[in-house]
Amino acid sequence: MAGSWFHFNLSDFAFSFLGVLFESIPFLLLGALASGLIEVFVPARLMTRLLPKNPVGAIALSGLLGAIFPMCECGVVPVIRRLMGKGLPTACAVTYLLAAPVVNPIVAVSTLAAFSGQRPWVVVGFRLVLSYAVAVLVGWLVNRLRPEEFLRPQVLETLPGRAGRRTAFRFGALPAFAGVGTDAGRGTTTAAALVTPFTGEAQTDAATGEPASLAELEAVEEELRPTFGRRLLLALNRGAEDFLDVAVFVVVGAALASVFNTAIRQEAIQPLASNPWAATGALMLLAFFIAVCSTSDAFIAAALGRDFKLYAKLGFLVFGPMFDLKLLLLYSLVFRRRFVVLLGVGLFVLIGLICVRLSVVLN
Amino acid sequence: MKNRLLASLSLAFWGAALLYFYLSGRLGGHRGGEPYLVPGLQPLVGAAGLLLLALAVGMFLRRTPVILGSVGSGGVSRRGATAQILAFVVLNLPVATALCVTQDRFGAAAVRNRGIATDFASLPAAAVAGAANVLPAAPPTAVAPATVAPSASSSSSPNEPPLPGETPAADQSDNEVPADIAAALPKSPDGHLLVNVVDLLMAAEDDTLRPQFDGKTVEMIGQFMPADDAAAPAATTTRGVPTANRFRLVRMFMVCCAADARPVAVNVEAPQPPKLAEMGWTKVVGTVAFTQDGERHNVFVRSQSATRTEPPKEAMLF
Repeated sequence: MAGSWFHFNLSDFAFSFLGVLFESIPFLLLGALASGLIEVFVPARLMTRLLPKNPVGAIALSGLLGAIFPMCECGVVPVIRRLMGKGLPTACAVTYLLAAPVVNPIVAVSTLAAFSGQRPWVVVGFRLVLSYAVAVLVGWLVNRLRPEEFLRPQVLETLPGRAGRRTAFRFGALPAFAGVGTDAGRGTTTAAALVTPFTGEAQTDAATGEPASLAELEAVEEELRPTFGRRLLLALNRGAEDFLDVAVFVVVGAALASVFNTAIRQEAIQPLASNPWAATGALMLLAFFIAVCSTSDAFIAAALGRDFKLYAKLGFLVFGPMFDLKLLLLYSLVFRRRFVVLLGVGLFVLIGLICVRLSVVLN
Repeated sequence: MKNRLLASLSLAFWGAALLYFYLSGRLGGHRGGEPYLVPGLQPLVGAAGLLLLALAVGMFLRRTPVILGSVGSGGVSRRGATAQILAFVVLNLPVATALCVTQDRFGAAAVRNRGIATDFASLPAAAVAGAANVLPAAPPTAVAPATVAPSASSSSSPNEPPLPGETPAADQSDNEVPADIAAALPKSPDGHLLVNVVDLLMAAEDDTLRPQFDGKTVEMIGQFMPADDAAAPAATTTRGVPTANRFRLVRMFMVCCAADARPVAVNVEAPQPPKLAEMGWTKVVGTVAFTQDGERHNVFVRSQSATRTEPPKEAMLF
């Protein structure tokens, strides 16, 4: 066993697996409940009011929203799903998705603490700036795509003003008042259906089958506004459903990461430390497979020893929160599979290139 | 009805599992195992468990059906009953299996696979400062003499150095290393200095601490792991000592959760091959010694005795 690089033990796996779940579930629940509250309480036009009209400015601002609304990488996926339904431009949503788990005060402080004695301010500065820059760049690139090219159809249909195969009055597009999983969509591909919450009774308006604009959504919201208590209950139920949606993928991701964490000999990557390309690539792959959250990954990176230089550790710190095993699965809730793969490969190459170039200053 | 039942069952199962682990103490390693999470995060699990149970009840009582495993924005899913049952199984079966087989600790294989740190540079300095019994990492500050009695909540094992927070806080404005470390550290009833693994690793890196620890008799506990030459080169202890007489005393160092826990260890050389169970809790009494390998200083302990002991109150260092 001493020479074997793979040794699986079910008990060890279970301990690590449950550790990951116990750590992530509270934050996942928080993100899911936040998404439910956004769905019910955030007015449809708020996003468009808050952000600059200029796409570049809006994307740039979205990269900084994590400083005000920090969110871990597990919780951010259900949140942006709802925010897009509220009118947040998709490019801004992608930027926030990538930046929020890193560009926030909590991660800054934990990184400072972890790298104490290893040029902490340098590491924090590079981590935040590089993460922000990559997120904004990706958002800018996404802005050049049509949403149909990268969003899943179910998510696409919820965007305000979109026409899909189903009616635009889906439950995401009409956030506050639609029940979930009703029969409204069955066989009614053009009719708009409004569902009274908690009763399942479908009300069919004089639907034209035309996509709903934000103004129409707001008008309907205002007309059918129930009590605060009922809205809160609906928000909690939505949050619970989002939690279950996301939890399936977190379970799979946590299981795969735990296999790597416990069964594979991590010393095997030590010989790669001497080559900048191999070192950076190896640490980014390590970040992908161990899939730890952005508040604790800095301590793991700092503990990787003297052999791995700061530029390689930076790759670990920037790539991991943007794309890891758990996120690979979570992103598939929102994005098409091809886009998810391209995003992962693109981030790996881009961040890897930048970090290797930074080897002249971060040695 | 069925879909609502599956969803609420899932929420209830997860909520019950979280609440059980929190209330039973297994989450914090208080039932003979190791903690799953650092203490600061444990109440969040309890709260999440309660909330999930409440959501389960709410989900069950709602009158509109639920599509389990709906992908997208919560809209009507095209998934049939089979897909929903599959989602239910994926959501719950791995967790249920893990709950049944976990032994609340890592075994030797997982510890080896994670890579055992035997030098202070491999540890995040700021986090280690909280786990060390001696001094914060950089800069060194004075430790107040142990004249204050340990609190009632101190570790149940008399061999374990007081946990951080149980000894008086160091005077942060005093950056002087104590002139006599022996006076500053807590002692066992036999008069041996009580240290933990991190203390000795820190001492090895510090020019002022090294001479103060050199030759001192210390007592520490950890989990026993036999040495192997690849992992514990002979140069790190006295040359010529057979591998069979060498072992490692390991502690797991956790930042957030079990998944990020990393093993740290001090090498020990014994007069005879020890007959101890792998990963068993072991108390070592011995003298501290240092070797030098280029610019790197290594610490090891020449043990006088290595005996089985009870696990400490906190199995992991935070």
